[in-house]
Amino acid sequence: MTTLFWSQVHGATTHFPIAFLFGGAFFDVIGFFRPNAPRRVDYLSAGFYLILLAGIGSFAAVISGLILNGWRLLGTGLLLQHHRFVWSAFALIVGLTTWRAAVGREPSRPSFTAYLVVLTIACALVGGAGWSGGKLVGR
Amino acid sequence: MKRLSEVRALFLALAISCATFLVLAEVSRALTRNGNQASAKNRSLANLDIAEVRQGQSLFLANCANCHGYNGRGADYGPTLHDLHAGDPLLRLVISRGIKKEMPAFGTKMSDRQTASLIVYLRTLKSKP
Repeated sequence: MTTLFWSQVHGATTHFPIAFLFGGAFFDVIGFFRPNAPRRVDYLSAGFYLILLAGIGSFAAVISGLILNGWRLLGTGLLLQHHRFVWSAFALIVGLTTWRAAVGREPSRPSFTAYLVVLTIACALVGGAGWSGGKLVGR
Repeated sequence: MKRLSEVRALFLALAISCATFLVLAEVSRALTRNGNQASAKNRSLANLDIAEVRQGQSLFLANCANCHGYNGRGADYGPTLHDLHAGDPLLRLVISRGIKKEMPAFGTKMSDRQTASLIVYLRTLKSKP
């Protein structure tokens, strides 16, 4: 397996969890701020399943990235910056996915508020990881 | 009752998150230790191909020194290249494809063999001899 192959696999596997995470956050926010909407349950279900997919998909993204970098967790320069974003985001995504899977589609309102705050931070960190990762792979 | 299960789920989430990182760190440590041992064996001074290092050095001076400094310790545009932690595959990728808006790509300028020589030379750059 060549480096180019793994860089392409990493590129492909990272974009799915990013899309799922942002999509999940989008539907959860709609479900949260529109408690009386007729399709509220559907929004929360979409958020629930998308965050689960993001959590599962993030493992493929992380493992392909580790293979690409010879299983080194950190690095130097731009790579170190990328990994700082990645590891913080990954920790939050794994935690959020586990919590949501255990609690179910409709958590209590105070817990859901805290969940959405952490989810927003995770989205920002994933954005930072994508930005620094995009700079790493060049054109 | 529901609040209690949510608190339990929070502890479960923290535990799984920590366990994931412990497993990843352990796997990374084991795999990079094996890799480093093999690399160290291949790259010990006695095993270094001097001709390859010289070729890498001349490629470095011609293509990289302008930005990274003639001793590789970094200059105005490029960071230091001493004690690089990135693996060979990633270095090959960065050299051949460049870094967007930061470093030009050398994939069309250097052959795979030349890139390998350059990496061998870069591995000789260490802050502490």
